[in-house]
Amino acid sequence: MSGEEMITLKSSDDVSFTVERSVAERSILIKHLLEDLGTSTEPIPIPNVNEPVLNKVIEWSIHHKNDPPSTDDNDSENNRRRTTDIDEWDQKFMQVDQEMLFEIILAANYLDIKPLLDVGCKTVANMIKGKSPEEIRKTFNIQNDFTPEEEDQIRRENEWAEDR
Amino acid sequence: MANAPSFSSLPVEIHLEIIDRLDGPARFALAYTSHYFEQIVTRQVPPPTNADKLGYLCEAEKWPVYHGYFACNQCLKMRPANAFSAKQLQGKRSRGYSENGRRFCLSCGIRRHIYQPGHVIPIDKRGRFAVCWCNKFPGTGSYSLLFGGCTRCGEAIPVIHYIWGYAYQPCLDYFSCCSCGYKGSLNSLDRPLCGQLDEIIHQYRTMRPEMG
Repeated sequence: MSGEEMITLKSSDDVSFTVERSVAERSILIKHLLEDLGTSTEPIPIPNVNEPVLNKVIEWSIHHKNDPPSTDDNDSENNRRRTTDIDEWDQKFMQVDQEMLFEIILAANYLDIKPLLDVGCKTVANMIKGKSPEEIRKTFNIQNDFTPEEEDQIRRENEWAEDR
Repeated sequence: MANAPSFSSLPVEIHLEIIDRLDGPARFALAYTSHYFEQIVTRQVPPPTNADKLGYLCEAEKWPVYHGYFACNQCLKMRPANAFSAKQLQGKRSRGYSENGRRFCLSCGIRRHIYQPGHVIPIDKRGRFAVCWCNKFPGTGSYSLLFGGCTRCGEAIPVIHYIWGYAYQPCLDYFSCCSCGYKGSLNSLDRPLCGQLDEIIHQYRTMRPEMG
C-alpha cells in the first residue's frame, strides 16, 4: 500500500473488492475503462463475474501484477503452439473443479486478461492431451452424436494408418 | 450466468483457443468426440510429416478402437500384435510407453535391414527366428543355419528362418522361401510353415497356442 491509487470492483452479486490500480489493470477492459474515465472513486461493476470467480481472478492478478506486459503477439503465437508448460504457481492456482476453471476462462475472456486466458486454455488442453476420444467424452461429458455415415467418414480418414 | 458452464457450453472462440494449444494427436482425439468438434478442429489428414504420423500412431494405439494393434515406426501403420517380435511389445516399447515410437514390426525389421542376417529374433518365450540372406550362402541343404539360402531360387531378399526350440539344429526341419514359395520339410511327418512372414508367425502361434 505505497499510496498507490485504489480501485473498487463490484461483482455481479454486489460484492466489492478494493485493489491497487496496477492489479486491476491486468484486465485490459478495466485498463481502458480507467483511461476513459480518468480518476474515479465509483466502484466499477463487473456484471458478468460473480464473487468467487472475481476473487480468483484478483488473486491471480495480484500474484502477476509485476509481470512484464505480454510480448509481441506473433511471438507468443509461435510459443504457445507447441508448449503447454504452465508455471508451478499457476498450476496450483488452476487446481479447481471444472466449473470454476471454465468460469475463470470466461471471466478472463470477458475482462480481456490474455495471460490468464492462456493459462486456463493450457490447463484444459492438458486435460485433453493423452486421452482417447472416449476418455475426453467422459471427462467433459460430451455427447457422441455421430451418425453412422460420419463414423464411416472418420474411419476413411484414418485409412492411411491401417494395415491393409 | 444462470447455468454453470461446461466444456461444451463454452463459446466457440474459447474452444478455438484451446484447440490452438493442442498437439496433433490430441486434435484428432478431440475431433472424434462429437459432430461439433469434428467440424471445428482443424487437422491435416494424413498428418503432414512422418514424425507427425508417428506421433498420432503412438497416441492412437492407446485408443480402444485400436485394441490389439500397435504402431510401427517404419511403415507408419497400425499393425496387429502378431506382426511384432515379443521384445518390441515389452518394457518401454509396450503400448503407450515412453519408447513406443521406437517400435518396429518384423517385416520392416527385415526389409529395412534392422535385423541383420544371422540375428536371432525371439518371437515369444520359446520360438525364435533367425534372419537369413538367401543368395549369400546357398549351402548344400535347403537352408543353411544362419546365412541360409534357398537352393531353388537363390533369391536375394532376406527371409526369416524358423527355429524350433532352443537349439539351432532342428530349424532345418522347417523351411519356406518367402520369395519363391518353395517349401519343404526334412522331417516329412511335420507340416512345414509356409507363406508370408505374418502368416508364418500366425500359423506358428495357432500351432502352439499355449505359448500365448
